[in-house]
Amino acid sequence: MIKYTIRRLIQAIPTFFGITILSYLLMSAAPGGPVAALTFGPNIPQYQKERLAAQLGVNDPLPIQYLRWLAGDDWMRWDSNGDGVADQSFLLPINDSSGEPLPVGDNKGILRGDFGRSFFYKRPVASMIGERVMATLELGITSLLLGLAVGVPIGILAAVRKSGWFDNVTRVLAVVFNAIPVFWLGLILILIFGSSLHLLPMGSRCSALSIGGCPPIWGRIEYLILPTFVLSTGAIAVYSRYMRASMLDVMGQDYMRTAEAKGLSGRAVWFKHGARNAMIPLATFLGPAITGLLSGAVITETIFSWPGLGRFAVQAVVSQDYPVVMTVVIIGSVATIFGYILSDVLYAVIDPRIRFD
Amino acid sequence: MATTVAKLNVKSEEVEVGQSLTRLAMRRLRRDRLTLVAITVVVIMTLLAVLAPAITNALGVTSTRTDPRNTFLPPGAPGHVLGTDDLGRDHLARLLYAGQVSLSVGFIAATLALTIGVSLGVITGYYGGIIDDFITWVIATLNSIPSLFLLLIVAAVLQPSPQTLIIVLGLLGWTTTTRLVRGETLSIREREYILSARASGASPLRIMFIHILPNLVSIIVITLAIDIGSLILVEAALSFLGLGIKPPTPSWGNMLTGAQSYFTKGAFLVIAPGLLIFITVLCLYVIGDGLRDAFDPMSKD
Repeated sequence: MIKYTIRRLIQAIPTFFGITILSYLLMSAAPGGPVAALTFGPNIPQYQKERLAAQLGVNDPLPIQYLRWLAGDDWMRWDSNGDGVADQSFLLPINDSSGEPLPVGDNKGILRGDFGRSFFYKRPVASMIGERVMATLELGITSLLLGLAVGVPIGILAAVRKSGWFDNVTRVLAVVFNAIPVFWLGLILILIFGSSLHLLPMGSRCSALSIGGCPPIWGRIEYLILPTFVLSTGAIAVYSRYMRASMLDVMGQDYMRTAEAKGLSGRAVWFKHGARNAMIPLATFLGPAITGLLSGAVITETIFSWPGLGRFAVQAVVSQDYPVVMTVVIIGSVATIFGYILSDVLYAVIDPRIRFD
Repeated sequence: MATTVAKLNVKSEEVEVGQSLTRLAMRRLRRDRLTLVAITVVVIMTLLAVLAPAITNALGVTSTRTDPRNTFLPPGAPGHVLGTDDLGRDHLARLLYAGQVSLSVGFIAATLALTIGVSLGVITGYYGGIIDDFITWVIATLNSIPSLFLLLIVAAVLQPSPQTLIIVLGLLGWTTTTRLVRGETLSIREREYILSARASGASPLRIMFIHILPNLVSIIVITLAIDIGSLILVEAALSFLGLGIKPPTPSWGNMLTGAQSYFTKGAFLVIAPGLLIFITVLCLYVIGDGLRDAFDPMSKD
């Protein structure tokens, strides 16, 4: 199994580089680039812009810029004698066009966890992400759990009573919830439960009056209800349909007939022999579930003012804060890749019929 | 496949011609009431959007004229059938013109994505080898980035107009189709009639177009219906976030952008655009499902 896991991890490396290349190319196509985003205003003299451009390396060849973003530039231009002036360089020029020495590289690159500084907040992106990642995890995990807790039983019941009223109703509901725009569902729920009935808060993670950050999760369940429900509708629809198909598949197996022939009650056959086996393929859904939840989080967090990564990303796009956008994309993609690997390995571990070669 | 066989038979002598799969599917579809209703609704929506200029002219309203004294008029107000929005613009006119944008983005982007997806799927499935490996890698890469995140980068870079949005959605939305078509092509490639075509000297291009593509009709129409629906949803979400279609051009998504601020004054403004998206997408999904049943060779008449 360890061998299989390692092989899957190695297979993920080209995918990871593909993601970094694609997102870097897209970002470097931005008109004006980072210099325009950083030097907004008519009072900044031209020489300062040029200096900034040299510092950021936007005039270097694209492959070198990419390498620098990926692996940092502290090994590309450094100070070997401790006088604070760069005197050694590799791949990069030491001096700018006028002969002035350029500053020492201080960027470690995303591979070593240095995602640069936010253009907008002028703070390291990594620590800003750290402040927001818990909020997104909280919302994502509760939604995933709710999706499983509701979707799986629905799927089992629909399969057991195939073509009955329950099956038909849930089939229609699954299509309906797939077709509802998530953001609109959120708005309507806020309109009903927040604005009209005043039953639930209209947004945010906890009361604005909370001192010293938000209280533990059980102290603010009411803030979680609406966003979790909205985010989990997609998961419920997908899981219930998938579970139904898987359950129907299992119900046609010989061992189910054997169990029935032994005289077990219908319930024991369905739940002990059927449902447990039917749930195995659900393990493969972890990867797609993570992409779905992250994409959904962008919208849900924005509507409910949830202080997580998704809302952060949208704000960063609006303020053209490229380092933040890149970081969120890379982190989301890495999470997805790991989700896919984890679900493959999990599937193989749970299902003894699968061998590791 | 059935079509080809039928043609060959007719040429030689008068034989009982079998029903082609497409004709069978059309016959089944004509009896599927739910799908027919869905098709009708989508056609009506499209007609309303196409006729937007005529309808607004007839009612004497425009989608752009603001009127600060008559904001948030309720539906049924004199002169404004569906009331007015926060700037006093006619809500019906806005909905109609937004429909033009949202529907055309969905239709054209889905067609573009489908064209790319089917071409790449047939090519990779037919040739295999290094092209296949490369495209498979590209698909793995694209699928590892949460789709909305990828669109966020593009939105940050491009500040999209309807045209660029169509191109972007088309260029990013082909992966699922490619995988489906590739799998199907892989199995068709091994059939005897392909071997016979190759033996009689047909070029790869001819085999792909004449012998493989007609077998993909069912996948193509089903995917098209579902893709149009999901791309309308994506466009709406992006525009809602302020990253897709930019005001003053209305789209069903961006009409909801400021909705939270006028909940109490005009709940109808919040409900209508979303309801139109929902109905359109729902109908497209129902059509997709109906087509799947109609084209299913296992289903009985």
